[in-house]
Amino acid sequence: MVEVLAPATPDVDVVVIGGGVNGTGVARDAALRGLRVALFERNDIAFGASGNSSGMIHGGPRYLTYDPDVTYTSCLDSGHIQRIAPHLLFRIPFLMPVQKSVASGVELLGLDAFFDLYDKYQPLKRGKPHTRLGGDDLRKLEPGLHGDLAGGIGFDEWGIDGARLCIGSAVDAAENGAEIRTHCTVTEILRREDGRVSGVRFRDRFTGETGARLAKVVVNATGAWSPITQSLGKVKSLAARVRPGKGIHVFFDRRLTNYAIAAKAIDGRQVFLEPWQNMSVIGTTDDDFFGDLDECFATADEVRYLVQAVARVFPAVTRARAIGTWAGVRPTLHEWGPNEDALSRDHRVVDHAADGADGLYSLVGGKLASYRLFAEEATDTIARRLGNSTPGRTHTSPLPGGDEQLDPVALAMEHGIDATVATRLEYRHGSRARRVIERMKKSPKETHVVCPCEPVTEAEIRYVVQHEWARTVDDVARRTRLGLGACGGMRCAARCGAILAEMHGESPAAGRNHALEFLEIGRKRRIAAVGPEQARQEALALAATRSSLGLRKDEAVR
Amino acid sequence: MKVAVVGGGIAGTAAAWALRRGGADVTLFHDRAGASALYAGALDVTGWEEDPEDESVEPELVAFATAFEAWTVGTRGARVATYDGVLRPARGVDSALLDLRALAGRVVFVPDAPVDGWDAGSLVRALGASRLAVQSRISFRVARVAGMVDAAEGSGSPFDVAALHDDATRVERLAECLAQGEPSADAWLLGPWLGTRPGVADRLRQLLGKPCGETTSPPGGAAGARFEASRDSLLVGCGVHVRRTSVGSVERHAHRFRVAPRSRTATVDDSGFDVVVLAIGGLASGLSMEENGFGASLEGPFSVGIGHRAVGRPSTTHGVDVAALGLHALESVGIVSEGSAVSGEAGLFVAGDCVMRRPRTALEAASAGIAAASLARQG
Repeated sequence: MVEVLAPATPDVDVVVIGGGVNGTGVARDAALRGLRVALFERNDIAFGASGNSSGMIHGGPRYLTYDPDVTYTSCLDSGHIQRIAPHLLFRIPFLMPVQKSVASGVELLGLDAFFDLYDKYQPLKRGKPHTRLGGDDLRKLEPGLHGDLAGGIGFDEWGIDGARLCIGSAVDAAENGAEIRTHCTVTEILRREDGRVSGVRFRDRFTGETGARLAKVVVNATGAWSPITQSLGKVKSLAARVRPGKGIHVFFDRRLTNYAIAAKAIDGRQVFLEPWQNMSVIGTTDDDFFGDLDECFATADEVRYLVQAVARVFPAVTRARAIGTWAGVRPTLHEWGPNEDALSRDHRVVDHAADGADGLYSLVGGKLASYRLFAEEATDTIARRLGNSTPGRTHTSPLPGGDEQLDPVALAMEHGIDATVATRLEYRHGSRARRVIERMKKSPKETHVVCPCEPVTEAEIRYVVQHEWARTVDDVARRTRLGLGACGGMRCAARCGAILAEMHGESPAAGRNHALEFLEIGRKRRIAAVGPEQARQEALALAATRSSLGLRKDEAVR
Repeated sequence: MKVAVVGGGIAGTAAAWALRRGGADVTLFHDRAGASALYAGALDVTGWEEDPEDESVEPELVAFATAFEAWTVGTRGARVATYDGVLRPARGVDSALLDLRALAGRVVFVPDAPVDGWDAGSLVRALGASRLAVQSRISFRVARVAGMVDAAEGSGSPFDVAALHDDATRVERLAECLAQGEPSADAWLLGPWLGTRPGVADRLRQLLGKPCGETTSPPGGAAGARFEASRDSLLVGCGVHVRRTSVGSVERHAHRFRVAPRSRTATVDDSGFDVVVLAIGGLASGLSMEENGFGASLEGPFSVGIGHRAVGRPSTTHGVDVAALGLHALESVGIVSEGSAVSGEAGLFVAGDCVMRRPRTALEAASAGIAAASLARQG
């Protein structure tokens, strides 16, 4: 109910709820403007849609026909992200093949015209103009393409690791004075007698620690969780409604192609196969989601839908080895009626003063590519209210590691480490890869590669535990991609769990428990994608691993 | 009696051995590795969480384990250390493992070797906190041991380190390094590094003059390789004909079975078999381990036919749980369930994971193989 917290002085200016791309974006922006910030995340940074996106900051040519503003802002902001985090970006060249048919000529002309329009936006994100390709050109670029090709279009997008982007924002916020708490759920949004919002109560989901942070402003940036968060403050409002849209991706044990390939699903939806980091990914679906947001996994039907679509243009995909899925829930702006795909990807800052909850703001909608702009708009509103007139500088100030570009090969030669290790490390940490290498110099034991699939060294695990709030093996995986390769963590989960337990002062049994929990989550992510034979083999390997980790009842975590 | 055993895992090997002892003419078909190659080196009758302290091991199983070079099955059971740091009971062990039962109150040293994934410090902490270690007052300590493997050799898998020690001079070097590293050690616990063939651990014990041995193997470790080496010598030693080929189908013509390889180029046995024992793991999916570890065969499932008519797939996609499929699931494909083994109407028997609800333990698999053999002998 309404609570009186009369003359208490606020602990911070802004409490941000949610550690996705928008929440960490606001926390960083506000901290850079000198505001005092505390951020609470119920699960982990980038646990939801931000860490489970298509991994692209594309301009969204798909939105061009009905939401050209979204395309414009996405492209513009994509350019900003390239400036502040160059290490996280990689170019993804797209091919869009058209099969020969009576209408293929018209279709190609239409596509060409469409991409002429898109080309106007491309310079904003340093993209290259599209190319019109003949059937033979396409086949030369990608010999695996199937069918009688009339021709197609080549265009250009940017890939990014969404989780690393969020971590970067959170680290930068913390280095500018923000308090970041992960696995720490807000249990109540505090309100004064007059309805004004005055702060939050929180509970750490691991330690059980509870507390409160009084704040002048509370920002609800919890994406699809928004309505739940809002209800913690007893705010009844339809202004911040979202229509949660589940999107899944299937990933493979290696890169299957060097070009991303656009394909049409059985219902005419656009899907794609993209090379992403060191694997290939198929995405995505868009379906209304009504389930438990904390437990969102892909189903075998969804996987089949995607693989079948890609197989029509790239048949070899059915013989490739799928090793897992990721699933996220988009916080799309709510609207009755239209199909999921047709919903706007625009974003909106909702001021709940109209609902009698002055001081509470909700961030709804949005997409990865325009997160920075969205966070800036929200922070502008908050700063104005708090009388802070410092301009935002998130578009010029580099994210951690983005200040300088290192040459990973030179790094590898200089420090005598494996070139692949150095390349992956530099990708994830930018110039801060040096700090991880510094650890290896101090303690050569940490040069050990714990996860050979990615690869991830012990030094990097220890670094993300110490500096990036990793508390579980899954957290480490989100930051380093440990255990997400072909072996599904069978070779590294135990070791990573032991390191975590040691660093957090927990018992060895707790470390084994960390590993078991990760293997269980991994199983849920993999089961929908792996075929029956592989599933059975994995069950056996898992049984063997469990028999080595196996907690007896009386050896449970202490 | 002419018998075909399909499958060279633990159950198939035990069945072939038991049938051969009964005087049958046995041919064993196998190809690539399955679940048995993933076993960790600990031998149990039931899952070890179920507290096997009171289990007794049936005499025929002891006889099989005795014939099987890689295994030691005691009457009182053993204590082994897992690769991830738990001390656990077992009915028997791969002989290369360190049995800690006799080491109550002693100090066991763990060498700090530069092998990827091996962290002696955290292993020692974990083992020391393990319930059985606390009860029996076994303490574990890290020993700084130089020179046993160099960093380049240790950067592969534990399996690669095991392969190094197939070389006798390397075993001598290992013994010297350990002796110099900690002369006062009561016993040594090493990683799963002691050879891909049986006998390396015994040689090391001889040289060192004290108890030493491995932890259990992680999936794809050396214990699986030593199982295969022992199997090959046991089968040859007792006169089983071994055919390294993947079986595509088993068909019955009149009263005899014809076993056809999957590959068309492989030669086919002209004469039929009176009895077939299927020990093909799981419910006969076309699954196998590739040579380099984790992989799955994409070939179709194994099929069973009567005459030229396939009677369906004795296969499910995920399961090894016959009960969940309905007790008579196998009957619909011509196999009749009977106790722990499953017998066909006339000469078709099934052993191993085919009849189990979960990935079975090693001794359980051997026991099922022996049971199938005994049913087959009765006809």
